[in-house]
Amino acid sequence: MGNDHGRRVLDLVAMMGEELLRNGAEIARVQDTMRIVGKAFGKEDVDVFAISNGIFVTMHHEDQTRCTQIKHVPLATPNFGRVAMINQLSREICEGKWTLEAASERMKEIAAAPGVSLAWQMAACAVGGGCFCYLFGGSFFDALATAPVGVLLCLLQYMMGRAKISKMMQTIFGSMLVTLCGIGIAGLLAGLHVDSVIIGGLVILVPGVPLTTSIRDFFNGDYLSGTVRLIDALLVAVCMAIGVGVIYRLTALL
Amino acid sequence: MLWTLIIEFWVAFFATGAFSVLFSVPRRQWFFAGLTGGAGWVFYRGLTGPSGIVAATFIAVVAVTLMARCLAVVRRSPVTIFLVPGIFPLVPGVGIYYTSYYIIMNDFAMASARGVETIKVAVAITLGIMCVLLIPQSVFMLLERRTKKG
Repeated sequence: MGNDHGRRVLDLVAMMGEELLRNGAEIARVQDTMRIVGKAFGKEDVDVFAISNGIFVTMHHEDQTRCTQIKHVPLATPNFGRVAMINQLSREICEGKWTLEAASERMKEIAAAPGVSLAWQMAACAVGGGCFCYLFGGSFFDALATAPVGVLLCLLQYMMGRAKISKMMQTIFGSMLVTLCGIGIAGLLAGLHVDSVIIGGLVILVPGVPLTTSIRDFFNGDYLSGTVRLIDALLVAVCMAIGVGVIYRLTALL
Repeated sequence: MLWTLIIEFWVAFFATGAFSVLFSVPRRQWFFAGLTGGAGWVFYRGLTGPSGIVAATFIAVVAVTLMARCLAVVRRSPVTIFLVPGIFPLVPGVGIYYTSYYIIMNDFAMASARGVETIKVAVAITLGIMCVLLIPQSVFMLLERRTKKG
């Protein structure tokens, strides 16, 4: 009987950790949340070891038995909405507002919560690309020209995501598209700066989040996770450069 | 100079806001994430001239992280939600891209210049975040009591 309760606590804790990690929380937060929630449901002894793409958790029960779960969590696009919801849930669990069953149900809801709709994403890509183009030294008109490039890039990313193309290839194709559009637009309309338009579009692909999270992991002493995310960020940057380089070389040939 | 800063504040505000949409930050926090990013950018731009890119980044990151921690208490959300979008304009993501771009284009002088700058900026960001995260949570909790009373 006691073990059944323990197993369900372990399931909930493991699921919370998995969703936190998948959606871009840093390692320290994942481990702390899992320990605190375990404690709130009466499991004093929870050992958690998390790295950026996996979680190992062991729970010690009162009858001297132990349960372990291993979760593989592939690197994915962050969703801070879910991180916030899980944070809220764990805070309320500690205040004793949730029973185990209700909390498990709520956790399933959070895991299934939809991300941002495509229309919002397109708008965000247009605004974000245009604004960063201006911040990185583009003129007002460069920024205007970057907005449609951002929308196109967003659509391409969406379609490639549905076609399950690997992330590295998505980045290469995305940066190729941005470079082509940049050269095309600047060729058609005089007075625009090719480089500004291209950098504005590329900002959408830039691995800013993995880099920041990696730095924070290093600070917390999670060197392994920091390294995994750092390599991820470096590879994305190299892929971007490959995409841009290919198009520049090709247009130079023409 | 003042006008440029004011305009760039709003541009950075919208840029950060747009990226917080892409990272699925909850809708009611968009505005505050944007404010954080805008403020960070203003510090960065205002100080780049007198003190150089690295020091400017450091001070801007300290400002952003302070704001993010205050907002996290006041708006009852994890720090990450404000910190990551707020730091996004300062993060040398574009720097790593330029470094690898120059390597591919065989321009090693520019690649190493960009690379070293990127590493310096990344270290400045780390130190900035570190300094503010060292402040104990109880300091920021004072803020919560005040908002509850008021």
